[in-house]
Amino acid sequence: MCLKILRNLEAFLHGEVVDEVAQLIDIHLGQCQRCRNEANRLRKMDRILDQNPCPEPESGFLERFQRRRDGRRPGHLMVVPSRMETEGIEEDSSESLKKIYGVPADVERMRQRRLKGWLVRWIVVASACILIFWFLEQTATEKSPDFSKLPVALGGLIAPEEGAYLEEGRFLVLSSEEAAILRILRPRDGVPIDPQQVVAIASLSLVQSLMGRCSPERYANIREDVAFLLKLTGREKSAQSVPKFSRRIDWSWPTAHAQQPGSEEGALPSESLRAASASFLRGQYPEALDELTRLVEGRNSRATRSSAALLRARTLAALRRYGEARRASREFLEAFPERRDIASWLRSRIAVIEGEDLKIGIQEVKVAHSVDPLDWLRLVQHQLAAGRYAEASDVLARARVHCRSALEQDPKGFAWMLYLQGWALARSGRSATSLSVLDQAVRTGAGMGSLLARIEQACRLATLDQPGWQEHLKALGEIDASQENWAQELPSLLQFALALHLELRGKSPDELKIHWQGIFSRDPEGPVAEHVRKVVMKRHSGEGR
Amino acid sequence: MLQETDRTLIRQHLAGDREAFDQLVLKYYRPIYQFLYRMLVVHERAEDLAQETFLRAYRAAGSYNPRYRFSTWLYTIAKNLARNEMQRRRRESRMSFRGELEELVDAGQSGSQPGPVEIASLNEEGKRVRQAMEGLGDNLKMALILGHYQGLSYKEISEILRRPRGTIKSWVFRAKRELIKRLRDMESRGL
Repeated sequence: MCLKILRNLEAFLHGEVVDEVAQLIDIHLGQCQRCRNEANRLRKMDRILDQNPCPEPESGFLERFQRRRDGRRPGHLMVVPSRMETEGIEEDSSESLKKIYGVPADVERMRQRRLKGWLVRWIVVASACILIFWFLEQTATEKSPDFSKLPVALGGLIAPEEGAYLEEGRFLVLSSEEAAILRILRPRDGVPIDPQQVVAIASLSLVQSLMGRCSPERYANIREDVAFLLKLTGREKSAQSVPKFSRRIDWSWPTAHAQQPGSEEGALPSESLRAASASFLRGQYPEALDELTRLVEGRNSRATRSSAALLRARTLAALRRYGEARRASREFLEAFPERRDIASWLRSRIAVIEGEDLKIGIQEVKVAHSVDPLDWLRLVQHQLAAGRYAEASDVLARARVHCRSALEQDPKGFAWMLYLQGWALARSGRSATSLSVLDQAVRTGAGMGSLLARIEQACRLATLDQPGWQEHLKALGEIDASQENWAQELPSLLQFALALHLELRGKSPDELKIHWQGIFSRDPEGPVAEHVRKVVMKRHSGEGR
Repeated sequence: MLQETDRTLIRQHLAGDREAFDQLVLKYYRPIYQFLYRMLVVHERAEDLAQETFLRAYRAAGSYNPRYRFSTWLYTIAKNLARNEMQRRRRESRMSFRGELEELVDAGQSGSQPGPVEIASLNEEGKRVRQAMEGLGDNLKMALILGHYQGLSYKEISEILRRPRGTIKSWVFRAKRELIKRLRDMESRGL
């Protein structure tokens, strides 16, 4: 609420808000000390500005103007022929004087010297631009990390398809497609975007990216802080949806927890299930269906059969075989009645996919000859809602080619498209490509697309245990909020999100203190500082004892 | 009604009535001068550019679009002149070498130091504000001057600076916050 008020405070004091808004602000100022202080500061500034007087123009302005208009400048009075007086307004007097008397030699020399100077400057600037461009091109190719060498070794780096499986696992649970729709529905950069959402996305994504990598106790603390962050930024609903810690994911599962026949709930997925889910994510639905059918019908653990049956129903829907998908979901419920909740979610999901596919069909016809990026984005919106991430990323790649000229004029739109493509690629199991596309979006440095790409990249890197994620988050914390008239709290919130993330990674309180101090020095009385003082520090001192 | 009078005067001027434009000059020379003075802080340049503003308006009256207020048009011309002047100053302050003749010509005109008229008009507080305003970016400064001192609405400012209304709102707000910060810094440094 306060952020909205602050954004309109100046307009309110300037008398430029409608009566209803003015009333709301008035009421809020009566209740909120912080906003009232801000209003008083602005009023005081107005008073100070009023103390800066301006001298009056000297008398005779009109006469001087008339003289100048009529070409009667001092020094010209004696030489201006009378015809100038008569032709007056139609002719530029100074031009006429030049015509009649020519340009003095020294002035001409000066002009030539200036021209030469400009020419030299332009040549220097053009060469510098070419050099910088060449240098950037070189460094762009040099710095691009080689993600293809991700070792499958456990406890360290995780192969893209395995990371993708985990992402998809989370995906099924959290129904993040809704978040996808929200993201894409957020307008492009031409329209203001609520910075609170950036904080919400950053904090939620951070927690999700490291879910399962810490103890349940620690996770409960983190969850409490994230819920606070979200509530503070007016996202109470999201605060409730922060996932509760379910079980710790053992990152060494492929060898230590290889699926054994007869093992029950909690066992980690088999090689075949992971392969099938990777095929599903990559849009290779027929291959995924074959493998999943084999898993459902084979002699496997109940957990594996349950996961495979769930994914099989979704794969059938993705193949647009809705009748079979609905039958598969019924069979799933009959075979696993304890998973009634998931079954009902699955049914609704199939219905959503069916509806979205219809819209995809219509939109595909529309974009066939369209060069408007918005048309393409609408198509992508439906694809993401239907969970067709691989297709969405392909469409975005095509959109970049089709709408090239429109995107060249709109760097923010271009960054937004790159960000979405990176996002879709990550969810289609192509983490390496996703990271390089996100990297491109970050490099554009344009608007919200670049900012969100940074968040996404940090989360991807953190999920894959790749170095560099901290730098991305630090860069987010250093955003100059004054440049965008953003919420005052944004830098503090992002720094808090970073501290949370570090806490998740098991950093010591001493290391976290640096970030807490940053928050205190920025706004010692602010709500974030208060939360850190009252909750976070207290908790750590309790742990110390 | 006021706008109607301005349009009538412009029509008369275009029909050959020279006095009609003089009336417009009398009506607007004070705000235009004050705007330019606050932007440039040098009396001579402000006066000179105010005259140039009217001269350009006089010559280009035929291209005036009556959809906008006449004052908005004048402010737009003045804004362009002020921006050119500020760019020229910045360029010149960067250049280490200039022709002798140019230097001589400019010596009396383009200094950014206030002259006797300016000094007389400033009290202590005013000096500090002026100093703090010097550091604002061109856009923030213009938005603040047009909004606060010239009393224009955000809509008018947005037409003059050719930016959306929301941007203007944000610029004015940021300018004030920046000024508060600068004044506080100056105070803490005992300036």
